[in-house]
Amino acid sequence: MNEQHIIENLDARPLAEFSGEEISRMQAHSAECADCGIAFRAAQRSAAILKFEAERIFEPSPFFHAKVAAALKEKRSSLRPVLDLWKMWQASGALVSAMVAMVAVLFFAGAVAPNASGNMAPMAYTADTAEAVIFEQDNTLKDITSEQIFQEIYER
Amino acid sequence: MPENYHDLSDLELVNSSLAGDEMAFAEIVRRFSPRVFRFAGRFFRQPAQVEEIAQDVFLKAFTQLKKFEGRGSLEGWLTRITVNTCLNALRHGRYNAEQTFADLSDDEGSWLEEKLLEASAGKQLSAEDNLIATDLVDRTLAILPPDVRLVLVMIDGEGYSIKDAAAASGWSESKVKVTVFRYRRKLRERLEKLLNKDGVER
Repeated sequence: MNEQHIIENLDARPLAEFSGEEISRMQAHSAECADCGIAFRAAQRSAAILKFEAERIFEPSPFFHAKVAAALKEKRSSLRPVLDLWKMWQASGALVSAMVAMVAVLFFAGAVAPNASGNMAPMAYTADTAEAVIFEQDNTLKDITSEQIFQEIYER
Repeated sequence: MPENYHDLSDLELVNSSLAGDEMAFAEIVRRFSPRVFRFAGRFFRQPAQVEEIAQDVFLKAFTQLKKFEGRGSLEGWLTRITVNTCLNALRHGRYNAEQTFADLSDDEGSWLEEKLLEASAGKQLSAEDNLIATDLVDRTLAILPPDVRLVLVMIDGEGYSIKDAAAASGWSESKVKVTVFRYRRKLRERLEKLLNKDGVER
């Protein structure tokens, strides 16, 4: 510690942390140096004020715990719908997973299946099928008149 | 459900509270109320304000209890919530907490010094003296911003380490060191002026 002027070191640490020897030296110096004397006394007063403040007690009122309990109850009831929703969500996990899987399957079917059918080979017709009768009939017969038909029949 | 909650550790109380045991959380409130009140009292002077802050602190602790992972102490965690709640209340102007600083008169300064000496010697102040001393201390400490008052009182008044004060305030240790040094000097210089006014021989 600087013996010349204790003011320089006075604020470096709490006064309570100075050793007895250091305090004695401060007091000895303060007796000879008025400025340091006032500074030392102010530091002592400051330390006493801070200690007094530290020992100050703020007591909870007799109703404090009851008030906190009531506020907590209210808080719980306001949180309950959210909690219930969360629990429901957790419980319905399997159902939700199944729904997601179903949506995925439908999406896949919708997106991929039409392409797959487009790539399919055209159906082969046979002479006996209804399609063959309807679509592959001889177009030349369409223009024949009734007279030509009768003529054909009676001539035979 | 345990019969005696006093015997449970902080972590056991947290776990029981998380499991829905209301009595366990009531024990947390009972166990840590003094500390929460003490720290809130560094910021606010009116008992009603301190109590309201303390209630907010425990409500926040209740809703955020899941976030307490047990790595630090429950006491430290609640202290951080208390300090943050106080700072937020000040920031949002919820309370007009601060008394204006006023230099003490000569008589007030001398009287306070005498009473503080008596108190530090272990003498119990009368209720009236205690009330007056509290008011004078309030006026003197109003020179300090609330968060500075918190760390300065912790270190110089209660003997906490720089590290503890940093953890409580959320500041870095170097910020605590610099700030405490600066305001320790400011407070001393303010009191020096009073001593000079008192006519201490120079």
